[in-house]
Amino acid sequence: MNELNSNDRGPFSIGSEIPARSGAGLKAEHVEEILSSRADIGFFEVHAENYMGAGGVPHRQLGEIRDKYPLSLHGVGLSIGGEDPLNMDHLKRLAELNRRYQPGLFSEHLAWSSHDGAYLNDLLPVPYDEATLDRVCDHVDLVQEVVGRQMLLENPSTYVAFEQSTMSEIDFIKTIAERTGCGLLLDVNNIYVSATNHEFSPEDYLDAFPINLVGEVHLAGHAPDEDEAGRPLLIDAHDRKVADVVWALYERLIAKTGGLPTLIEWDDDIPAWPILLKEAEIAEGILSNFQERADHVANA
Amino acid sequence: MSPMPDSEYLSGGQSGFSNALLDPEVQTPPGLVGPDGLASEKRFSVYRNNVMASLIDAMGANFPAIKRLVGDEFFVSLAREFIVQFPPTQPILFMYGDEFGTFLENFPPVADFPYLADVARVEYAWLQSYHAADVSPLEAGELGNIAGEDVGRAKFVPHSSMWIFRSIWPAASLMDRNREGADCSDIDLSVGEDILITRPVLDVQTLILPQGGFEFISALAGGETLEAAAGIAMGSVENFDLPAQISGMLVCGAFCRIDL
Repeated sequence: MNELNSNDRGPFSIGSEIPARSGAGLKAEHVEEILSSRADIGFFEVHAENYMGAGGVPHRQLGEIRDKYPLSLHGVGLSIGGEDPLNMDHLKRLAELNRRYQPGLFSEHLAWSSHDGAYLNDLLPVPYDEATLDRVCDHVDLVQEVVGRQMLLENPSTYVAFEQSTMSEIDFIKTIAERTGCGLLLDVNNIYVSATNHEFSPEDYLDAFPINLVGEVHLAGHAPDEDEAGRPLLIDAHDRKVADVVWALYERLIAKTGGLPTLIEWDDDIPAWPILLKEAEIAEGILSNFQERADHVANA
Repeated sequence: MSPMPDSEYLSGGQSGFSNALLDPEVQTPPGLVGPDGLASEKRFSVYRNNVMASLIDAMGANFPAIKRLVGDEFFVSLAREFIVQFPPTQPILFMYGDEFGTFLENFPPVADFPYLADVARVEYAWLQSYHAADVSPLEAGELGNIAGEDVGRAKFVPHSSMWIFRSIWPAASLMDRNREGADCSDIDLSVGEDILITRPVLDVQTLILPQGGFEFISALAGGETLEAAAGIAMGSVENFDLPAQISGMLVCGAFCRIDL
């Protein structure tokens, strides 16, 4: 899949349609207000599985949004990290949605969610070892082949580590991208959640991440908890505003990368549209801040 | 090959992981640790909770009338038991719960509420209709365009969104009232309903058919000609009003095309 290398700005180049602005995860209950208020926002992202019916209101709404805004398609159920072979029916449905809506970006997770015929509806962790690496690479190759475009692979939030992991998460992800030519989706909240849960420095992770391969950024809120020893345990809940510490990490990222499409995810306890839009505006402020500084340097 | 034992053997792999997710009696898989290198029940339970809570939410979204009928608290234990017995088989959650009606029929704790199974079947059909393919329904005028001598042998192609069902319970009324959050104490549980679900454009309609309507529309949907279907309906009820039934069936969008 070398022809899909992210440095090659060919027909599958990252972010060709999605601007380096902020966007929001689309919720059915917001669509009417978004359209009637002509919300000023860079793009929308949808969970692919919500649009895998044949017709009706969901496709009507998505068509109306797609006519007015750039669209990004985010799969949550393909189980790329699964031990089982990929569900080909599901992969074909993803390909069909890509064909139908021509989203500017298409992404999925480094996780598994199906096993032995059961779909578990969560993003479950994988060990970082050679056997898993080979399997995930085969799956990413197959996805890009069937869908016919580059995908972005998202870094996970995890709550446990595998004793038998033999490499770091970053080396694992970097190798997948090198072998398959996939791009990366960097979820900054996931960095913070995993860093807290596994006691590593989120800044070190960010600084070591192959940011040149990042085509999109995700931001979301997390819920605090603790484990039985009283150590902090953060849950990737997507049910509240982005935490200040995550905004700070995001600023650190954008200072390095410049503008990147940045999505606010809010999937549970969904707020009124203006509150979600406000979160997107904070991200937009950070993006334009760095853009102005970059322009200033260029003009000096 | 790596000299290390394969990861799948240490942790029981994804089989061990997924078994432990759905069954709290199964021990946390080995080889999963926190930052101190020790196993942590609490950390693994985040996954257990995510899986169960998100699937219970999905069931509640798919079956809001059942949830109101049994109450939020009981619904959680009902859904939990269903999820363990019938986990989703694919990632499209609006298609989850096809077996819920059969499950309710056989679940002893709800044996005193035998109408729940049919309400669940109607709710599931409603959801499939909501997501069905967009197809233009048959327009009333199209039957009029057929030459008189051909009308009797006309066959009607069911619309992608239509579903027809005979319940010995007032399952459609129970669903509609509970979805609206309305009082249903005046619903007579001894009166069954013949139910037709259609979605001519975007809004799903739940209709209770007049006498003979079930036999008539079922026969047409099963591929009988108009003449044969009318004969079946007339044989099943007295005073079958054919013109009214035809116009009713055309108006509600149950069919999309006439084949001759």
